[in-house]
Amino acid sequence: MKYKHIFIIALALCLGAAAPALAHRVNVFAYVEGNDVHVECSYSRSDRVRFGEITVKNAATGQVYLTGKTDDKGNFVFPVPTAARNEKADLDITLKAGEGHQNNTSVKAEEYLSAAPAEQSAAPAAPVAATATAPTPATPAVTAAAPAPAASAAVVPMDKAALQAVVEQAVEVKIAPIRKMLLDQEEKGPGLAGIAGGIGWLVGIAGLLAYVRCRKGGRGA
Amino acid sequence: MVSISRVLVALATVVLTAAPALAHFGMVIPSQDVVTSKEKAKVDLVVSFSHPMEGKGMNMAKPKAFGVVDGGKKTDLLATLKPTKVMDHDAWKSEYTFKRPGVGIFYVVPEPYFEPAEDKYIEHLTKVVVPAFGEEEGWDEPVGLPAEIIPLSRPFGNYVGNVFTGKLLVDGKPAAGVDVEVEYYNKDNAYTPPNEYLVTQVVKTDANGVFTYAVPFAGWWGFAALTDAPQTIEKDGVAKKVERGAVMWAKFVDPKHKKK
Repeated sequence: MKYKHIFIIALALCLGAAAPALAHRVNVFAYVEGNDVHVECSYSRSDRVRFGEITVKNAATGQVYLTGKTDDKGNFVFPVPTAARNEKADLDITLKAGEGHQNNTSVKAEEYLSAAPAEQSAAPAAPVAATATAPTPATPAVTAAAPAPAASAAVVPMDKAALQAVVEQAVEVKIAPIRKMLLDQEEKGPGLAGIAGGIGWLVGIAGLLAYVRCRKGGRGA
Repeated sequence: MVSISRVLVALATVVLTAAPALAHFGMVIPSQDVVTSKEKAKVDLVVSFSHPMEGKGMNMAKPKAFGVVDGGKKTDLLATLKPTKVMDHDAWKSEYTFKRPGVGIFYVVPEPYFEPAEDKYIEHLTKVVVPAFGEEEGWDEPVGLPAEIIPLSRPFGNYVGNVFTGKLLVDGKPAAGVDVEVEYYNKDNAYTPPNEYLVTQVVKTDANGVFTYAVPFAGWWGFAALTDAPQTIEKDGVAKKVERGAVMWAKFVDPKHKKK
């Protein structure tokens, strides 16, 4: 059966096409500005790591200060954790960009200690599409974007911008995993159905060819 | 008359032992070929005009232009140049600190240098590319010099034995059939060329202006594509030709071995 090896090659091609390309390195770079650490994650200047998972740890003890996700430009901003500042700890920042793409960088204590602390102004830093969640319920959740409004008993009227920032932040928290799911869907190679369909097509075409040849070659074939 | 024959002999000796014209190279050599850590983000750059394989220097006047292009953004660094000595001759140095991921294409445009031995001026438009913090996009961007080598091999992160391929653009167009001189920066005379043919090697650009060279041992290698500039420079009332070189430097390294 001469079509057998064609079939096998076709199958191999389909399976090969489904394998994700894992060739490129992922970069993670962090720098301090005022009280904030800015993390930039990219494959290259024009190809950023969207929604990469960030873990910020104490470089010496491995204690996790916070985790979060990069925004759609590969950026993640977080204020220097108070605990780290108190311990004068070097920060280890790990990026997981899925599928074996991982890298890490560090921010030495002197980097953030020597940076001029930002004025504690009421204006929140530009909200980033990044949510930082404290690892254990024991510690209060840290948000990397607009600071949560003061939890005082008195109802403090918030200005519109701050309110909007908080709402956007909350929506982002809910929407990020969905967005990631959609993204994962997009990035998946051909699924099993696609592969089976492709093979079906190939078999069909091979059958047609065989039929045409049969007719041309007469019955003596 | 002894003296006449003596003079003749002396003259003959002088003429015969006149050193062969060595290859000149514009040089810009960074203290590190790549920047990988924030603690070591400061790169010292040394700019000179020398014979790199023989370690013979020439005095270099302050360059006309010196700067860096990173991500399409040009930064003038001319004011940062300070005098220094390279191979006992006048040269220039600067430093540049990478603050963010990027790819710095450093370029030098020198004052034309008059070479009496060749009765012409020489100007080498010289480049070196230093990447920082994992970024590597943009290493093939032209600076826009009148004569320029555009690398087709990434000009950093290369092992010894890799091939270096580049394309010569003159006034923005590929230049065919041009000699490209290749020399090693023989620091501290670590190597001795077996004979004069091995001081400077030569490859030519093909119809598309592309040249190729396979690198035999580790260190900094310079590629100088030599063309004549369209204009002449007048010296003492006489028009002199100008050799315009497009020069690029790249480092090739050995892998690290596991200590047994």
